[in-house]
Amino acid sequence: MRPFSNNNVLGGEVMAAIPNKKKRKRELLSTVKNPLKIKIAFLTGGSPGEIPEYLEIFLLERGIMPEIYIGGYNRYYEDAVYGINPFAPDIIYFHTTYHDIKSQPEITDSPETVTGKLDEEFERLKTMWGTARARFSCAIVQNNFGYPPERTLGNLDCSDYRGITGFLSALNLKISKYARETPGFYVQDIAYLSAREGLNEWNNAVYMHMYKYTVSLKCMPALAGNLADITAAIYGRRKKCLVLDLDNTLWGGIVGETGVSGLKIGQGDPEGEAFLAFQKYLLRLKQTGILLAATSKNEESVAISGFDADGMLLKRDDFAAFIANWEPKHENIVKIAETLNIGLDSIVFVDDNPAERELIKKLLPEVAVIDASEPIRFLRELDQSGFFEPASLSKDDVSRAETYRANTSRTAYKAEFDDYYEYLKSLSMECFFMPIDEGNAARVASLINKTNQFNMTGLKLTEAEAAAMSGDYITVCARLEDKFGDNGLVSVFIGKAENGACSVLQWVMSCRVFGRKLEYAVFDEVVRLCRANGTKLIKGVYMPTRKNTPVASLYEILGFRRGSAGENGESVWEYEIPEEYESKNDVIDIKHQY
Amino acid sequence: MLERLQQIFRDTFDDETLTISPETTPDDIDGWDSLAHISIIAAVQDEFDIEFELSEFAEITSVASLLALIRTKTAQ
Repeated sequence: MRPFSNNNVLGGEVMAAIPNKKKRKRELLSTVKNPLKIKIAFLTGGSPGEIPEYLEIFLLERGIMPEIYIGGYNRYYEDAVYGINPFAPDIIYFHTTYHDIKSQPEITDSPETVTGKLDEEFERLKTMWGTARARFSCAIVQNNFGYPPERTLGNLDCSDYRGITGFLSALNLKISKYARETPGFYVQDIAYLSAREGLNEWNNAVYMHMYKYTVSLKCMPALAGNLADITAAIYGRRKKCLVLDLDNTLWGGIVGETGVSGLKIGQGDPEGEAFLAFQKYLLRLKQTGILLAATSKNEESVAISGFDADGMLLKRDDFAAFIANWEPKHENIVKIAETLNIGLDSIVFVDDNPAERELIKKLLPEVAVIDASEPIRFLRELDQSGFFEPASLSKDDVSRAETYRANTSRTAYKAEFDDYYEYLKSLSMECFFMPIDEGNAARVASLINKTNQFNMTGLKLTEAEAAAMSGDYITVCARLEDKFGDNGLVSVFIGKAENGACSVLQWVMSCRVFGRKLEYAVFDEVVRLCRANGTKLIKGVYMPTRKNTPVASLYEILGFRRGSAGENGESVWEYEIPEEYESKNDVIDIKHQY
Repeated sequence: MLERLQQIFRDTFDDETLTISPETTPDDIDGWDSLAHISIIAAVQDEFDIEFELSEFAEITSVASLLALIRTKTAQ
């Protein structure tokens, strides 16, 4: 589906109509700042229908305010050759269909006659374009011809010289050649668009005969949207940079959890092949001059290691900017924009995580966000967004990525805590706490055993061992819900209480919910349980591994005092629960299920 | 049914205060031109999940005729 606003692409197959276009236009007129004003002459062989209205809305969304002159019904040729004055358009859009082709092949025609008809039609079009250009020195956008939905010759229609689809294909080839040779002349590929939407959807016989609508009402938004893309491209508003997440966006899997060998990319695996197809598209896009950038919640070395996976097509070097850290992504995107010296409104963002997409939509509204969660959908939504429509492809475009192989020099940037706090509140998070019991022991063991990054001690447990923890053990299981749904069991804390102290045996958290400040909520709960049974001291141990660097400072952040290092390289920490304990969590709604 | 139709009119003419009655005709609403007319018909087909035949289009000349057609076609 087609974007309705600069930063909100909706998923779907056929673009839906905007029920209240006037209202949408009013909204846009009041929010668009300093729009580029241009004049468009819309000359058509049929009825323009709602196309001009949609075009206006989609152009306003791209920061362009059009004044649209609608040519007389079926007077496109006359208007181009001696009409339209004194409007003086910047762009003339010719919208014609096979209905406008004066002479089409007859079954009784000879091959020479058909060739003659083709040449005659093309000459007529060339005269029209040339005269319009000479009169107005404007850009010309001409659509090529979509197929009629019915064919009297069936499949022969494409190969027999008398076939209409073959005739139109030949005419389209002539139009393409003319576009290659003529600067300022652009083709709108309706042969493609109508195929993409489907001829059955594109053509509506009822509206054609009643109102001379050349396109169904249903497909007018797609046509107008595509026209807006071409216009934006002509005026240099092609987006410049695609910022991507890595885990489950560029490749299948989470590299910090499974390691490089656990990633899915290519290799005959269905999911892997989907990711590879996405990478192929991105590589080609990069070759047309679009900058690729990455922002990932990972240790930098771990993120880079992902590119060593078998089957990986893209390399670290393909990215003009690359930030892997634990900071909020909106800060990273601002840094990327600064590093590459581009505006936020030149950036398109792709991430499989709806919470991250929401964060960017809220805090960086100028950034365009592709709303899709799986690679198969990313590809289609990105392609149909039209954000990277080029007007032309120059040598500079093709070599741009090399020029931008910049270091990610980190300019110091202060976090906007107020905005981030608001974003976290807007997630409407609810956390449910319960102890470990027989009902959840299997999930508890599974989470503890498979989690590598937020894993304090490395302790592993069997289901039986988990189920046996009661009595002296202080256990907290946390299930997190938010506005996107139920994340399930995401954190487990196990402590052993003895002699007035609670020793932390294990604390894990799923990386899916990093950055939500859930650790504060869990710690508040641990403190609550400790105080309830008279425990005043919490002792924590951090056992460093190759993967759990993200939590090296967790105890310090929570206010623990560091003790002496242990014999195996672990660090030891202590927390004295104060009389007046202040809750650390202020963004998650806490519920208990005790 | 009149309420759903009224909302379609409100959206088309961008006027949340617009009210229609079975007696309303194109003369009564400023801006009910052919473009709006086609738009309303399309919205009605979507909203009530019906499809008008070519011959039925010509019958649509007022709110009353619209309501009558909607009734007939949703009953089928």
